[in-house]
Amino acid sequence: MKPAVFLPAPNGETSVLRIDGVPDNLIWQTAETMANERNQTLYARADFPAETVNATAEATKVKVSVVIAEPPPRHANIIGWPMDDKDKRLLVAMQLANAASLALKE
Amino acid sequence: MSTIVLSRPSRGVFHTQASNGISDEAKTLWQSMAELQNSFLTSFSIGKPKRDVLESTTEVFEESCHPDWDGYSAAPVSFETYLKAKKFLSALPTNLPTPEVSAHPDGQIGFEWFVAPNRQFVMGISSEDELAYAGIFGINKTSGVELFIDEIPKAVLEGIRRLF
Repeated sequence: MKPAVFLPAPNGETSVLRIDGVPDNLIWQTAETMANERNQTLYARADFPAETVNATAEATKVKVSVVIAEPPPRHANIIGWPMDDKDKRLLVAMQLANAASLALKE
Repeated sequence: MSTIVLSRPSRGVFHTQASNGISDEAKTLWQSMAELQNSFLTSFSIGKPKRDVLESTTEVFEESCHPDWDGYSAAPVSFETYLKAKKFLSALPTNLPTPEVSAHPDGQIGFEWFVAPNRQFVMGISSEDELAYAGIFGINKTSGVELFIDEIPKAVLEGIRRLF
């Protein structure tokens, strides 16, 4: 998984979806809707345990955390990125990518 | 949780660095060296990895040179950043593996060397004269920012070499 996938947008947030208990087909459907809204093509998704964010914060001493940001339902953002320190952002993104599994769209 | 996905001390054969010479001889020598390096890159077996990564860099630039290229308000990758990335790749010693390329939401071009989850090195390059990098080497982690004008900073080269 490329760390770049997790790097924050210029507003300092990485957009994520809470998928615990959500059927796989519904996850893909939601992702597809989000991609369409942005005129993007969906190729894959990166799944990772929510506790990874806290573990990463501890390991890197960067206070990243997840905050709910609905709508859309189950949407959240990873916030707390050090926007003035690119090298620290890269380190955090690597840690998150390490815990993620890639699911390709069929 | 889910997010969508849209060492050896040698510097390699024909490693070049900027010439400070101003005489005609120095200029001629520098030009000859550059021509030699170009001819080396056209060698199919040796130059191919570098040609491939240069091509990937061009593709990444073309896909991300406009604002909001990722649908999340990403900054565009500027032509200056693209040139800087190509400069970095040209300066990368030929005995080091070439990286994977991606665009970053802040408009930088990213290079990644991945061996395993606990052995990887990433960096971001912008139009500025700075390189930001981070590496994971087992239980050790490193990150920093270095000046990049003509030569690849020592800390970055050491970080890449440490993986292989």
